[in-house]
Amino acid sequence: MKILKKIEEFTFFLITLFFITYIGFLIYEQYVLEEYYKVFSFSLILALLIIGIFTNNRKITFCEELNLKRFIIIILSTVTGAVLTYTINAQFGIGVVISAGIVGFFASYLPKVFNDESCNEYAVAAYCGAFVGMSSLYITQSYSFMIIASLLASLIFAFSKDSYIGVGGKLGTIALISNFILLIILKYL
Amino acid sequence: MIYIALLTLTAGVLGSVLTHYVADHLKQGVVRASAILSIFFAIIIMIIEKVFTLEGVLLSDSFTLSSLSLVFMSGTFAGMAGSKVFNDYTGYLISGLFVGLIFLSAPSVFAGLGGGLGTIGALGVLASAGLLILVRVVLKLSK
Repeated sequence: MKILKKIEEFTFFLITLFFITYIGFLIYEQYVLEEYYKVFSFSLILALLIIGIFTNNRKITFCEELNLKRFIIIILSTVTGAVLTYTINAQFGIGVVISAGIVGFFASYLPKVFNDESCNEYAVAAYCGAFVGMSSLYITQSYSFMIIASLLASLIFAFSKDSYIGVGGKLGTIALISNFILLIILKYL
Repeated sequence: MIYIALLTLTAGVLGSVLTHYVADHLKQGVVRASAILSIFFAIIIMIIEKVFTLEGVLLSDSFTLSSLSLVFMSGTFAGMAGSKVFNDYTGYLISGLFVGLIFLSAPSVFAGLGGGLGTIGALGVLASAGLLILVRVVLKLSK
């Protein structure tokens, strides 16, 4: 349990670090381009972001609620969401937005289909997977990349349940972290 | 290109506010609200592109009309924020504006990696929450 709590703390730290790094990249990019008014604007956004992060409520309950069945369904939902989005986009060429939208739309009916409100969490996990699957076909290029990245995303998703509660965009951030980590690993392997 | 800036900001705000409306007031849940609105918006943009033969046409440096679908979808992620973060439409509106602003200034960071839109949405939500808290504190101090 202690290890699980540490992992949960780590995922919170990872997401926070990613938010700050993302804005840091933006500031650096604009600084290199000598767009100083944009450097100033992004620095302001960074300051507001830090206030937002520090005032965001969080509670750690996942470890007490840890359930293997739930954990496995989260993994399956995320991987299915990613693979479906990737496939729809690659096969039909309708674009990432519509592909992810279709997966999210059908996933949102999971609680109704199974008549169980707890399935809502799996619908959210599938939508998170859909964001992993939104990666450009030129970057990911294979199903194995998709599956590993979505596995990683499902782990972060499960352990970040109590981090940034109610913050829209958290799922996308988890997807981006997973894709980014996997790309870095592949680059240096 | 002032009209591109206006279009981008409007797409961000519409995505955020409409998602909250569909999810909360029409009781469709955040996932369905974000998904269905993103599909609708992307289809509308596709139709406009086809009708006016604007497919792949650059409206500015790297901005095509279909970029608006991305901004809108990012806005819908901001609109997925819960009532614990924002208790009225102001927060959603400001977060949509932040989403549009980030897109306008730096659309290329992590381009092509899935999840980038969500990250921009989250940054919009957190920055907006930070701004609202700051305003509240300033108002309290000035009383």
